[in-house]
Amino acid sequence: MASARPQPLSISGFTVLPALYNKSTTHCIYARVHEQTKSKATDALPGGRTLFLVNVPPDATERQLSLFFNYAGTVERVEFHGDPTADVAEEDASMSSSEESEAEQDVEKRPPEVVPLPTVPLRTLRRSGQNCHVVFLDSSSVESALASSHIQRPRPWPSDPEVPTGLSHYLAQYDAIRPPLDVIREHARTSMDLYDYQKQKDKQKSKYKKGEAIVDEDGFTLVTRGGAYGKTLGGGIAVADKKFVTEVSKGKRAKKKKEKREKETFYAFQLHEKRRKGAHYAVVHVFVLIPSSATLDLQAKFKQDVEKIEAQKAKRRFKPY
Amino acid sequence: MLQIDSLVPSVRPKFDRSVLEHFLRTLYETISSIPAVAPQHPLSASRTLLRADVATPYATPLPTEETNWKVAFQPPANITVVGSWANKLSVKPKDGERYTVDLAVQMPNELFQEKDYLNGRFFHKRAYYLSVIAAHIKKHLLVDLFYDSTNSDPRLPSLIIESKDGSKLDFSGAKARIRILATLAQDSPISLKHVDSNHCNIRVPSSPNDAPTHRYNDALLQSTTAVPHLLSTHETKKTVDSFSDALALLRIWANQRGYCRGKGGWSILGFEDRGPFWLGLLELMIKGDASMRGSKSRVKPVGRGLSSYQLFKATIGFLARHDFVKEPVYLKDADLGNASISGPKDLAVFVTASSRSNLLSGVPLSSLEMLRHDAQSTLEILSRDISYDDPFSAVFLEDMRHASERFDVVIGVDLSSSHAKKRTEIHELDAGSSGEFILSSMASILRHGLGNRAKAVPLLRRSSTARELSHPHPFTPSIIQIGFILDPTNAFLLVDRGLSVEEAEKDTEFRDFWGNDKTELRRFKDGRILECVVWEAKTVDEKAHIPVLIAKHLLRHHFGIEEASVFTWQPSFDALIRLPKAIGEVYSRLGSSVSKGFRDAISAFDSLVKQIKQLEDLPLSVATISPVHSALRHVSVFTPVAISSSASSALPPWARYIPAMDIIIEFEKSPRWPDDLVAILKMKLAFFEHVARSLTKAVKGLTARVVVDNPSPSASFQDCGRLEILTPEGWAFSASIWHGREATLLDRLVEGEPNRPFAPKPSPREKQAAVKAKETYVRQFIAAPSHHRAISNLCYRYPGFSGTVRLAKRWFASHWLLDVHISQEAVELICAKMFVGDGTGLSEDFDNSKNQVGAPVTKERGFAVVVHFLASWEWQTGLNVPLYGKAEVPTSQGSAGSPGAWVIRTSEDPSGKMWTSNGPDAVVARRIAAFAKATWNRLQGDPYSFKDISVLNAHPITEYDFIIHLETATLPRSYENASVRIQGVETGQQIKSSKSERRPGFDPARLFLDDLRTIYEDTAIFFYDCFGGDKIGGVWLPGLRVPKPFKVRERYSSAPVHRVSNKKERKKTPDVVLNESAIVAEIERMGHGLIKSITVHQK
Repeated sequence: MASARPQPLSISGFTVLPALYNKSTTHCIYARVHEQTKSKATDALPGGRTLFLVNVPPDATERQLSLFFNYAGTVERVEFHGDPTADVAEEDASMSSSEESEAEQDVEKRPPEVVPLPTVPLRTLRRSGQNCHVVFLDSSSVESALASSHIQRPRPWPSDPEVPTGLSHYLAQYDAIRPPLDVIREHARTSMDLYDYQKQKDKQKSKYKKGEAIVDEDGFTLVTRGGAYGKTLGGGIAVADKKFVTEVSKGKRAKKKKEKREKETFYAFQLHEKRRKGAHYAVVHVFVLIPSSATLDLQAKFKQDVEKIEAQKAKRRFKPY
Repeated sequence: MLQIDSLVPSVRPKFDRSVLEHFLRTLYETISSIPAVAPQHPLSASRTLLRADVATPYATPLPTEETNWKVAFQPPANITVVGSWANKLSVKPKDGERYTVDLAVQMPNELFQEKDYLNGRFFHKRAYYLSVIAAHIKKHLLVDLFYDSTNSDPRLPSLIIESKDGSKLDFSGAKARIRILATLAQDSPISLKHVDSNHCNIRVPSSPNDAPTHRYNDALLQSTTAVPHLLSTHETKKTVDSFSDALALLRIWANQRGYCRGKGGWSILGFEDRGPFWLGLLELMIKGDASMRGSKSRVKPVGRGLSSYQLFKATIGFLARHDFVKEPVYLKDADLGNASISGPKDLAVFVTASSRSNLLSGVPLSSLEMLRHDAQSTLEILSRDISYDDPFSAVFLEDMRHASERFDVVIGVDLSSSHAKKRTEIHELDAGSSGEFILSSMASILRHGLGNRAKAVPLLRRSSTARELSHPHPFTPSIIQIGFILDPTNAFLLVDRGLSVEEAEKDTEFRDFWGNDKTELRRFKDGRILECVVWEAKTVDEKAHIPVLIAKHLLRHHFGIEEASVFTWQPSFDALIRLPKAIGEVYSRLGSSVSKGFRDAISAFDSLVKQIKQLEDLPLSVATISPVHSALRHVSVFTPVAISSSASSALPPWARYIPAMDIIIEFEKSPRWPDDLVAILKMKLAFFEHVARSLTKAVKGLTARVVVDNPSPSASFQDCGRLEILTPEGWAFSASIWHGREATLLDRLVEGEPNRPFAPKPSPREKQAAVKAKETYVRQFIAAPSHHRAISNLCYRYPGFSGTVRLAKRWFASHWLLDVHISQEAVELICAKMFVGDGTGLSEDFDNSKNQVGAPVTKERGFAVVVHFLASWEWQTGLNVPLYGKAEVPTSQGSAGSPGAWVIRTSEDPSGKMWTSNGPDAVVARRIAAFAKATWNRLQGDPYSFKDISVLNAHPITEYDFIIHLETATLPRSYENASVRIQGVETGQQIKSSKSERRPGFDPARLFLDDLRTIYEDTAIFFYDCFGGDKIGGVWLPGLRVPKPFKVRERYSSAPVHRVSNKKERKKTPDVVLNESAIVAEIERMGHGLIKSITVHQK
């Protein structure tokens, strides 16, 4: 296979970094210098010293990648793609910290801190063929990492003894997702506190205020339901009910009116057509004898049935044995 | 109607009759020109014929040297074509056999005397007559000649002529064979009135003359009926237009159910050659029971203008209701009817005007009961709502002879060692041969012995084939099958009751019947002391064996058939869903402290509910707790077992799996819940923690832990907490909390909020997550509980249902599909379909509802039905399961986007994708059909031809691209695998005990598999047996092994290759191809400790 022939060193702009899994097996990582996007001024990744990697092993850890690029220089950090802050606890923490800065401007109250659930250094298994960015400390490391002298011979893929694999990984995971009750209690309590705090704040910010009309940019007042006591506008104005609003928004109501505008048996030709079709009609003034079997609809239905049977016959459905 | 119009022509002979007519003319001349043979002693006459290699089919009682009458031959008085061919009523026989043209050769009256009805003299004379014709034709015409016997009765021989290739008389184009019957004229000297009534016409020195010989008499009478029958049928056919079509329908229906001859399948005993019966039946329907005297229920004639289908349905309705024993049917004309047949009480009588003889003579009652049962289930299908399924194909087009799906229990019996212990010569002679006698007495004994346990116990045999002229007598089959249609209410009772003590002293019938060693006296609750027979059965499995036990006992007691000659699949089916012996021994060593079984599991659940409800310090009180796990509805493959800590340490590490049973807790409604999805999840965590804490305090020995699954970031609304409870007895539960508000909140995210225009708009990502979360929410909290209730209802209603589902699940699992590609609920729904029919009666109360007649009673049959269904299911059309009672057929279209190919609709789930949205996809669905076909072919075999049913579940592994062999000794579920042989199990070694923590629901192989499936979602498909499979099979997705240009977004591990350079250097960039070896190495690394080795199949 791939190992039988000398491997190409680069492919559509990417340099191929072979990583040796074992004596005979080579994995290929594709690497390129990270190009900073122009539109995104706030690119978190520093240009020049970042390497963009494609097809990183699914079980790769930051440490493994650092060890792998040992030859080029020191790795500052690794950012895996499509993997935004994997942990809930982390997310909560970052959320609260970002709130923090805002809260300080608004003064008043500090948001409550959330006690995170404990995290165990577990290997995160990502999808095969994943991308990631490796940020080096030094910009020269990028060049050296891609230098052909280093990549011609496959380098062994390092192992990370700190995080377990296989059976022990699952054992550790099993225990990790069953944290002690105290921690859960604290976590739940503080989360609820945070929720209450935010609700309070949202209320302050919200455009919906008790007893106040909502006026939009054009100066129109939005008429909404005011709840049990009609708080919005002092009553007197009929407001569409919820069901109506929902239906309108889904486009159900609009069509209804358009139906059946025209009378169907107004003109003689319509009457004639309808009779031919054999439909029931109530608005007939003229007494006509219709041969019932000759009506078009019935004929069509019969034809359909015959066709169906023919199709089944073709499939030899009617041979019982 | 259209369907019938297309069906009927396909079973009619369609060819030019001239070829055949030419041959018949030749035949006529040949037979007419046979020279007369002077009267001579029967034995010497047969010796003369034997020189020409033609045996004379004398029947018992055989003529001896002392006989003083003579046999002779004279040219026939008349030769006519009779039967269905003459009336153009022929219906194509089963299994590609030829049409039969009946030729009645009337023997001249001079050959007979008045007393010829005695001792089989008539039959001997006829046998000689026929053999002379045979010898002559053999000499003069180039055709194949055989003997045949109607209904395997040696007294009714006939001569079969088939065309021979290369002869100038070749009529093979007609696809017909000619059957020569030697008949008797109506005005023959034989005194027919002696035969007509209940006379005994075989004189046996040992027995009195009063036992009437019905079969003998009827056999004789049959020889006179051919021509009158022809005429009367012709008459009826002329008056009723739809007669011939209705007859065709009836014959097709009967043929499909084995009331016919056929090479391929088993025929129901007594119905092999009953052409006149079906004709007579239709005649009865049309003319009514004209001259019935003194009967309460007369058969009223149906209108003559009925269509063929209506006539057919009326006939089926009649068969479904009528009992030919209790109400014998006479269609005699007034002048013929003298005495009615009154014999032993178990005799079915059906005499038509033209036939005079009993059309049901020699038909065992059990076969008739089978006919009635078939008619009942057909009637049920015909009266069903057409929209659920097409009744037409079920009634006419499908071959229903497969014993495994037709009978609740099938046993194969080797008759070679059988001998009737109780025999009377006269009965044996009446039956025609000893083989026939054994069969008919076996049928009646089994019928009597099983009593109301079974609705029908027909005997089935391979139909006899035509034999060479040198063989005078029909073969008695050495192997027969006995099918049981069980009555679920009585079938599995432990005790058969007999007479009370006082009566028993006078009457030994009961003891004789069951044998002295089997009967015992017992005192019952109502104070009576009765003779009874008790069958040993401790478990549910053993109880299901009782009917077979009875049959085995009776066969041994009455016919000397040892158990080794009786074959059944039941035990090996049981083994499929039972834990291995070694594990069972560990449990039994632990004694009664181990609670196991479905009932214990459910009571453990009930007590847990009580305990939770009793907790006092909860902020909200618990409203309901509903079970949603298969073990709590009797349909998990293995009977659940509680693993206490002592049991756990006694068990080897590969048998310590404790399945956690899912339950759903619903708290009372409260406005205090937060109105935010994430906050609700946190609130749930708080509740879990609270319940866990107080439950551990309240119940001693109980452990409860909160599990916070690591949710994938894309699904932050996903319910990620669970409460894991391990009871002191060792039952594990996994509880979730249902909060109704979540649905509204999720809907808001999905559909937006028109009412609150200024509310923050959800991001597309949130929206996507919400859609997914909503799906899971509906499945977990709304669909699952209602599904659970419906299924457990079915389990109580149908005793065979639970076992069927368990076998079906095991089957799916052993083909590496269950749980991985097919949800357990989908399997349960498919199985339910086989039981509920169109859902009538399901919605009624349990007590006054009636079950479907055709529903399987045992798991073996249920399994066969399911497999057959899967093999023939056109899954593109979907399936409607009326699980919640008879309801409107939902016809909404499923969501097109989901990968699942199956559509299983219920009234609660009109889209039909609730349990199948995650698979099987089209590829897997096709695989299932292929596996089902293979299994179905196996199941059509006979119980004695292969005994080990586990081959049904043998899974071919060569199709996979790579196989991951797992380290079975470390996996806690290995013991569930039927094929895994772990060292120490077979050798009976003492299992080393070691201490370890109990981990409910810990299944590393499964976790590993799930990881693999997400990691390599775009690389390969994985297959695995979720019941302790020792291998994971993988198939690369198609198209990946072809080199392709490199793309950053490709989600599979690749390696660059040089382009094959036939177009020189046009594109310089090399292609990439799937890096198989690297992926395999990755898998091996990630599964360290779980994997023994990986083999890659090179193709």
